[in-house]
Amino acid sequence: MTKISVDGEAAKESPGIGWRLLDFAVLASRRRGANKKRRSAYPLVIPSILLIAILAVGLAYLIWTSFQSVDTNSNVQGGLSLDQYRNLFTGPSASVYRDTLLRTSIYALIVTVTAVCLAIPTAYAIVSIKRRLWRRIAMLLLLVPFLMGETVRAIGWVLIIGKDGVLSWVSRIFGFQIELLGSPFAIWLGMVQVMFPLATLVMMPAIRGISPNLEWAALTMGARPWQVWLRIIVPLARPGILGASLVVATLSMTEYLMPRILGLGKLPFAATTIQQLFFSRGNINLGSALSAVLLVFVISMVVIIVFLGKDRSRS
Amino acid sequence: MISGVRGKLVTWSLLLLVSLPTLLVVISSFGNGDKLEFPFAGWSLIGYGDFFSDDAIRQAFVRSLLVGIYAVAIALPIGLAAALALFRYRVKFSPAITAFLLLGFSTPLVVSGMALLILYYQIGQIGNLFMLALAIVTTTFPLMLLAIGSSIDLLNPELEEAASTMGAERLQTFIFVTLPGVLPGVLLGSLLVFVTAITEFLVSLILTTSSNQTLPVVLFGSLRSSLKLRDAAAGGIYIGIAVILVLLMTQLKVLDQFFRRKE
Repeated sequence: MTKISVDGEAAKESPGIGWRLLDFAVLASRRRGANKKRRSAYPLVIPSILLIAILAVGLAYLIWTSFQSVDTNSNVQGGLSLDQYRNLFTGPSASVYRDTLLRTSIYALIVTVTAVCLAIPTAYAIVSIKRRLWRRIAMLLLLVPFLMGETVRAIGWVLIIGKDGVLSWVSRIFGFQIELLGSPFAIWLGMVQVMFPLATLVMMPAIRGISPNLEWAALTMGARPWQVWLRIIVPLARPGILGASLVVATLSMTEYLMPRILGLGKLPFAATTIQQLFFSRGNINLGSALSAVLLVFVISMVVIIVFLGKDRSRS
Repeated sequence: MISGVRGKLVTWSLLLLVSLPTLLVVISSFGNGDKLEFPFAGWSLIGYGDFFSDDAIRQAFVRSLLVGIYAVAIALPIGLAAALALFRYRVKFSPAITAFLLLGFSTPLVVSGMALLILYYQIGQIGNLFMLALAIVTTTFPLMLLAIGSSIDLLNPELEEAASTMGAERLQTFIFVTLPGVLPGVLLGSLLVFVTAITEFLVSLILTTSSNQTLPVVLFGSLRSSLKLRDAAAGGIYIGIAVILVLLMTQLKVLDQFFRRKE
């Protein structure tokens, strides 16, 4: 084994402790691997696989639990069965569950459309900001609502539209009382307030990649601004629009806090119903079944959105 | 360009509207009196005093910070190793493994939370802060992975080759060339995971017990009953953390290339 020479003949000082430690480490690693050329990096990825396996095992347990039947009177576990799913789809409360999923999907759709439509021009405007200071301010305004957490956002909204909030106070001055808390509009407002910045952020790389020369070219050829938008910017931003729609839609489907607080829990949503099944009603089997249905729903949604996005780019 | 004065006005108005709740929380946190209400009673720091003197909320805050630290401690080494293996050294099956690691983002948060609840119940680990941090990391792991990945993208492999032609061992190259190169991504990922963990609500609601609540869960309780001044103060603290984080992030070059337009 060759000895490592630490310092050349010209070096007068003896190497410091840091370099000695480094040489020791190198020596140790050298000793082990005779075939350094083909050392695979596989071991590096094992911990992360184990980490996510925790979630995967949990999901497996969830699905397993959903296929158990439980006699509600004696609380005895039955064998594997589709009882829970039968309960969901054809049981006495089936219409409630169906309506809940429908409602969640409609809200998700509306919020996604709103957020993405607002995000396209906003992303465009922000990437076009020339001065660094204004860009940083825009980033601040965009990111802080996102990073401060849902509960703080909810507090903010309650302060605006709640009984003792700003809107109520202002409207009382004029003689009437605005009651927005508990309304569908309030839920939509709360959701859009975070989904819009998120959509903008997801879309920015795609918008950034659109060369301004294309717009100039179109303008010089006599295109009106709205034509440049529809014919050039939006089509080129398609991957970004797709990504933003995916992220916002999947996040909206699992929305819990806004329907619960801003909607005062009046309207059942998927996440609130699942939480209720698990915690209030203690029915983990039915809860698991509903969770599994939501999971399949969201996956299908993702597939549809991706499919819709890919199709036209072929032609 | 296309966005004239009108466009800029609309954009900035939108951004300000989105920041309205933030503004209100900050303003209210400096208010007076016990309940949060308008018109304003006066300016004071009572809210923040209440926040630190009330045991329940202060302990919840400490628990949240702990969860945040645990989360970064878990996510950083695992994420760094995985990002290097997948994006720099490109092990076999990288695309498939990457897709698997994105499981946390692919499943709805409520479903992940319930799945982990069932699993933790089986192994008897409910109400444990470290396990909560672990759960949060599984659902936010893609953040760390992709943040470091974006740094790796910008890494020039020629620098590492140059180092080895000058006699550096693999370990030296790693410590002095590779690691500093991915540092921005590591910092970004760590900051994002930390902030996500301390503000995380849904999984925390599912996996904590009444004696072990983190701050967002406590705030949820206040939202359901009545909001006190100290809740606004908690919001103010969260907002402060978020602002510091964004300012830190703007210092990292990784984000610059994200935001600036090619001219």
